Amino acid sequence: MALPQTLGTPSGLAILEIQGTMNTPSSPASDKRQAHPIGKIVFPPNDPTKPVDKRVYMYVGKHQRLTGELKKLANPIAIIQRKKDGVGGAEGSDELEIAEIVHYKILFAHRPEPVGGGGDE
Amino acid sequence: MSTEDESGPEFRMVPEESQQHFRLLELPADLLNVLTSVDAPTLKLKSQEGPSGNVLESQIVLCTPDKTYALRQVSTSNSVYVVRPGTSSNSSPDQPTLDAIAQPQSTLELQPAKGASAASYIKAALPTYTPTGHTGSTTKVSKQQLFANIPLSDGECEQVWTDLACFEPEGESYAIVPSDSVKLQAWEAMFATATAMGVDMTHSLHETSQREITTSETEWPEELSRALLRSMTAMPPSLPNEIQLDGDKSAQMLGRALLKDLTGSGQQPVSIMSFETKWADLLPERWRGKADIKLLEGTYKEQHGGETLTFIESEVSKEVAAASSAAAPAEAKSTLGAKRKWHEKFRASMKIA
Repeated sequence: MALPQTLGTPSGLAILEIQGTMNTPSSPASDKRQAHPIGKIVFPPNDPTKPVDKRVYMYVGKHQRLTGELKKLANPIAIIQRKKDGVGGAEGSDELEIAEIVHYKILFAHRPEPVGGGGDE
Repeated sequence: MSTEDESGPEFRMVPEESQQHFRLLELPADLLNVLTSVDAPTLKLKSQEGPSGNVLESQIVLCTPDKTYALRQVSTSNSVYVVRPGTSSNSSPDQPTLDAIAQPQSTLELQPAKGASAASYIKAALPTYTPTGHTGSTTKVSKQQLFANIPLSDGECEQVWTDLACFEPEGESYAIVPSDSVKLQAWEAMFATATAMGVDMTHSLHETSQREITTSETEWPEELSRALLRSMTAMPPSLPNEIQLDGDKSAQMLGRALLKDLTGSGQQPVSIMSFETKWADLLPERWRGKADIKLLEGTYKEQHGGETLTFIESEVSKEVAAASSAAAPAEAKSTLGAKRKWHEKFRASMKIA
């Protein structure tokens, strides 16, 4: 299970928000479909005996860390997409469907901070 | 930091070309309850076509069967991603990943709609049925087309449709709204028939009586008479074949129609005494006492020291004018929206740099 329980939704869809803009290098034509790795996300340990820890970290490269949190949304958010037509074209339908209703988001609202290389050196 | 702590999914960005399209919609608590109920209804996005046939952006609403929400597009300067857990096959064993599969540019917020009432839309859209026939050069629309073009929920439209006694003539696929004098005359005809047959209109009316009252008098279409009876009933019928007219609702409807018919559109004021007598004459014996001017609060203006009355357009009716000139407030709204979108422009310039 990649997501903590609070985020876990039936479809697995979740919302992640980062302050600012993420610049990803344009991928070479050969691997257009390849997902571009950004960093590693570390969720709080899922320990029911301890008070709920909502901090989330994202390590970008070896020396940057973003501190974020699992934030409960004031109003839940529906993730909506165009209904896929079983028969006709893929995007042809006039109907929308709710793919998921999420109650939490992963929010990185702070600037990245430098971290020491630690054991990497 | 220990390596154990650092175990977690890799965050990956799916290239823009392969991203999916999602919209984010904030759900107010009452809508969430509707959506998560066992019998969740289909929601509808509705809009009103502007004078030129274009959809007015500000008029797009989201409707449950009986509620209407105004949609507002809100952007944030943060980057928002829809993410989904996945696995990376690049390394072995497979690493868990969290893939950003979409980047919605804005969130849709919902607010209870505060626009014009369904009455103003219906009155503006439908031809009026007068004692001499139909008037108004309005394009003929069916009930279905009418509702589809009103940015309010079907439940709200249906309520007003019933209250205004709108109907589609038999065999026709267009809707009309009866004028006040038509309502009065059709009611008088039904009331006379009922009295002659010994039917008390204050009791519940069985289908058989309804048919006799609405058809034995030939001047008015049966659909009109039935729509009129429905507009005077309280919600909802206890038995499928029976209707029960509501005293207050009936008296109010007839009183308003009478006052508008007598003093509307620049006619002479009428004395309160003679108005109340005429009004009481329209009502079944048991309800004569309801013909009290206080029941029409808000729809009249007293003159000559409280001796005479004239009809005034209520707030609801005034909205007719407001609805037809809806383009003006729409513009005002869009400038307000533009202000919030500065960062979108900012983002665009960032990308060029």
